[in-house]
Parts: sequence; C-alpha cells; structure tokens
Amino acid sequence: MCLAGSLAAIMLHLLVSYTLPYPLNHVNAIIGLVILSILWFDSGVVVWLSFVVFFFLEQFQSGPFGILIASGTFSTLILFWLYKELFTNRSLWSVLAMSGIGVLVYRVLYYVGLYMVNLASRVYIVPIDISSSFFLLFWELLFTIIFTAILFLASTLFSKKFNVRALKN
Amino acid sequence: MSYRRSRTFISIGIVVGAFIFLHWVGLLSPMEKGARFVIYAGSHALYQWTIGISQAMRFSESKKKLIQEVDSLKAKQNDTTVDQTRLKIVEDENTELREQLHFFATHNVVHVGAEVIGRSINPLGTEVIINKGVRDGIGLNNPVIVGDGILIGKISSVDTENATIRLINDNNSKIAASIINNAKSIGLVEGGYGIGVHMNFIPQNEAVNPNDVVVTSGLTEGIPRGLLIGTVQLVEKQPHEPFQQAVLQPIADLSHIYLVSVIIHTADTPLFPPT
Repeated sequence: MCLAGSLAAIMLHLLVSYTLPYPLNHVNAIIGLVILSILWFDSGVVVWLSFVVFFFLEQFQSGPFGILIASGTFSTLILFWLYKELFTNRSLWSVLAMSGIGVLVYRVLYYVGLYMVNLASRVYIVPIDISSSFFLLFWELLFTIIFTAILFLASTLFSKKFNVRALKN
Repeated sequence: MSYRRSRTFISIGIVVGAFIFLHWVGLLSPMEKGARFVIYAGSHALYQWTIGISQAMRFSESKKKLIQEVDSLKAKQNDTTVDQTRLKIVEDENTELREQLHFFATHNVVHVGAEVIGRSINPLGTEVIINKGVRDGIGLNNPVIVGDGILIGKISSVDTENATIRLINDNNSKIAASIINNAKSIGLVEGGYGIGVHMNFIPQNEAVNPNDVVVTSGLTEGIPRGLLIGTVQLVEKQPHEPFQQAVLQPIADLSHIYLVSVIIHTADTPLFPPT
C-alpha cells in the first residue's frame, strides 16, 4: 500500500509537470504531498516513504545519482522536525510556511549536492546557471505553496483531521 | 541537536550513502531497472494521454476559425471523441514516420528510431526521455531529429535501455549553426528557460532577415551539417556591439514530440558512410 501511495504521488507530480503550461509546471507536487503526509500520519515513517518516492524519481533525472534522494529525504526529515518542534499544529499558516521552507531546503540541498559533484569530479560536470536557478526557484516556491494550500483546504472538506473548527466543536 | 535526532540524521545519512555506493558499484542495477520499468510504463501512458488532450483542446486564433471549428464540432457530435483522438495520434505518427523515412532515404546516415516516453523533471533543463539506450547503439551527444531532418536536440545522458534528449530550447543547449543567407552567417544557437531559442555571436556586418532559415553548420562535434533548426523571427543588434542576435522560431513543435530518430556514429562507422 505504501508503494502504491508512493507511485500515485509520483504520477500526480508527472501529471502536473506534463499538463500545466509554463511556469505552472514548476510546482513541486511531491513536497506538497510530503507535507500533507506529515500532517496526516504524524509519524517519522513519512521520512522513509519519501526516501522510496525520491528513489523512484531519481530514475527520471539525468543528473548524478543520489542528489535527489539525499536532498528529498533530508528535507522531509527537516520538515518533520519543524512540524514536531516549531509549528506543532495543522493550520493553513503552518502548511504555507512548511511548504515554503520545504521547497527552499530541498533546492538548497539539491544545488549544494550538484556543486559538490562538480568539485569532486573532473569528468562529470553539471552546469549550474545561478540566475536561471533563482528564477526557477521563485516559480517553484510560489506555485508549490499555492498547490499545497489548495490540497490542504480540499482535505479539510473530506477529513475532520485537518478541520480546526470540527476539532474545536 | 539531541542524541536521538543525531542518531536519526546519521542513520538516514548511512542509508542514503549506502544506496549511492551500491549504485556506483552496480549492485543496485536490478532494483533500478525494476523502478524504471514501473515508472516509465506509467510515464509513457501519461505522456501520450496529455499529448492527446492538448491536441484535442488546441484553441483557434481567430473568430472566424473559432466559428468554423464550432460548426465542425457540431457536425461531429455523434462521433466518439476518444476514437477520433486515437485515430489522429496514429495519423500523426504515420506522417512523422514517413517524413523521417524520407530524410534517411536521401541521406546516408546510421540512425535509431525511438519513442518518447516522458519528460525529465529536472528543473534546470528541458529534456525528454526515450525508450532506446546504449544497447541500441546510442551514445552521448548524438544528434536527434524529427520529420525531414529537423534537429530537436542531442543526447545528454544514456543508460542501457533509455536515454535523455536535451532539447534545443534548453538553457544549456549550444549548437553551432549557420543561416541560409548571402553571407552564410555562422553563430551559436542557444536555448532559454525552455521557452525560446536564440542565435548569438552573428557578425554585426552580415545581413540577417526575418524568415531566413537556420541549419546546423557542422562545426559542433558529432552533429552533421544541414539539419534544420528554425527560422529567424526577429533580429536584435546594437551599433556598438561586435555581434548581433536573432530570435528563432523552431521548426519542430518541441512540446509535442513522440517519435524521434537518433543519428548514431561509432569509431568504426563514420557519420556519413561512403555510398
């Protein structure tokens, strides 16, 4: 069931990436789903699930192996710690903040990994264009936050777990 | 950081490191093959579905065309939309294959046909994935064409069964090209953010006009001369600059690619074998 969920998450990410026009196709659906999973399961198992998801996603990228897995898994871990220690609730503001921080941490770790590969290897050089990276990061931040917020608000309609008013009542 | 958190961080680091080590020594290949098989099957189906959807939903540009299309749709109201879309895809594939066959019948090159099964999710690039790889003879930097010799990009990474094509509108794509004009101007075709294509470093004193055709110059290693790239849409020049720049309109529709041919060459087989 976990494997099916992971594959479904990847298919949703690919669907968004293939169907939406530029710049909407830069939304990081995986980070959005990771955040909602953290809020739903409230367990560190989500970190290992994200490891599986990013392992599958690694097959889709042409860069050096391991960068997506490392950046994705560690950013999920950091998000889980933030949820447990800092935000500690399931409000919309927490979701917005976590999605913004999640994308930032994920991309920083990704670019640091690419930079380290460039430093370590003289044969395999991955070109990094700083200006376009900031440009793309802006789109990814903006649309991932919006996407995650929409998913969260939609979830409140179907589940009391995310519905603060239902919990208060 | 608490002891428990440090332990979690280190254990995840060890697992990730172990996976990377196993990948580099080749022990992870069976698992990666299985993962790729599952992912690419889903991606292939999804990609074809999105191509079909976008073809069925193309919006017309003028009011007159819109009215004609509405009338046409009304006339087709009783037909099954799904069957029509499938037929269109097959027809387009047939046309694409015929054009590619014509190119290879008139040019003496060694090539491999392939099907596009998905787009790369790399945010820094505009790349597509095909279902052929090293075992089919494909190598790094092989040029990739569609239609009657229209260049769409070159191979940026390859494994046993699949390869990735970096399209010409990718930020890191650089291809030596020349313009079919009186001066036979040469320059460098570069992509931008996956949207546009520019030709840079064109000598300032050479006349370049809109609608001039741009082809590969043969100066990029591995890419033969004469492959079509696009047409000049707009010329930008500053009097104080030594070079001028042209905005190009690619001939191929880079957002709807499904069948490609990879021009391959090995040490034993020259790019254009003698007839």
